[in-house]
Amino acid sequence: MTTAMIQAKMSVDDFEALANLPENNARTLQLIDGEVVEKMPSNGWSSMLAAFISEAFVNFVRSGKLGYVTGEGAGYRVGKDIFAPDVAYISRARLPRMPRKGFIPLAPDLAFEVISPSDTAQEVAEKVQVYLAHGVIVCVVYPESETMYVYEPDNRLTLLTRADSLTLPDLLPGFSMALADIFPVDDADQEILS
Amino acid sequence: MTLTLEKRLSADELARLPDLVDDMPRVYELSEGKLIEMAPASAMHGRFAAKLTMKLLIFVENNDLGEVTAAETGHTLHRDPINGDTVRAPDVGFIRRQRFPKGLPETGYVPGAPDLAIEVMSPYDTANDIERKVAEYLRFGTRIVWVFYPQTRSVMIHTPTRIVRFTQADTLDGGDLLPGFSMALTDIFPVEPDADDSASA
Repeated sequence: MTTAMIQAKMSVDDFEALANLPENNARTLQLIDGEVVEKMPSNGWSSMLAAFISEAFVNFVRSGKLGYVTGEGAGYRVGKDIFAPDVAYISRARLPRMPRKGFIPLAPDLAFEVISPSDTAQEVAEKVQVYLAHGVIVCVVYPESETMYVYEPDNRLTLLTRADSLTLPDLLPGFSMALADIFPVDDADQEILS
Repeated sequence: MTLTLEKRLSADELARLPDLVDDMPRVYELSEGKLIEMAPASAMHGRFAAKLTMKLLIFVENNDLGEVTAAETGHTLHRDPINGDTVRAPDVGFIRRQRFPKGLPETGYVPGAPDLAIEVMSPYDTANDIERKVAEYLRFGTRIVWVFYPQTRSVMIHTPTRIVRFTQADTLDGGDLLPGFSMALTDIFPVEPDADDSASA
């Protein structure tokens, strides 16, 4: 998933200038610990799961005018880093208006990272750590085992499986997403996708 | 790296695999009959695992609580003639005295899952692999799994009923399994963080 391209630690401003160059238009770049890291296109399955997650949030968040949901590729400023979570939510209270240009200058309230086969355990742990240090609830989704780890900034950690639902009583009261809805059963894929 | 074989292997077949292939040392684990090759650990990883092994071993021996195994020791988590056996090699394992009052068997792998399994993450361990490994330990009877992430100086403690994330300021305890054991994480993680992102929200 990741390719480091430069050696010297880069500032957010320099990174933004680099990412805005025309030749980088079609790329998803992240700034992780001062290094430019490119997010490669993910596999179809992971991306499909991310779309199911977005679907659950978009409906709830839009109908309540609560904030914004972003899909794969949106850059958020998380401390000194720019992360591109697979799905994220940021409340209107923290971001009154979604900027039409540039990265979102704040950390999201909630970030989903869907694990790809090439993601290393430490990369994921590092990202989770940075998110948590900036008050973000992070949901790490493992498509292979159909599990979701929910990390909260107070170091609470919950493991959800197919039989569980994700609820976020403090952040989005009333929201509930059944994991069975985001992990489709293989045989029923065609039915779900059609 | 994962080798894919058509035939699922048993723990006994795994034990008979040659240690050397093309003159290169090989260590394997077995996940439901599927061979998983383990590359030799890095210097940092080995040093870290050695330190953990020493701390645990001293406590366990002083209190006569059981046996501690070092990295690369096979533990037969599960035997399943149909789906294949599962043999894992934690970086450190602990087995309660009650399970083997006369000590571990002279030959073969440790029968059953370790009561405590410790894994230290290397830069190349994938998120999927450790997730699967932890799930196997817990499914087959391990009571506590500690996963150390040296890069972030954090530890994930998995038990069948809960998961807790510890960071550098915390002290790990042994719970009911190792009553009285405690290890400050500042003792185990390298002192100087390398430009860690510690900005507050």
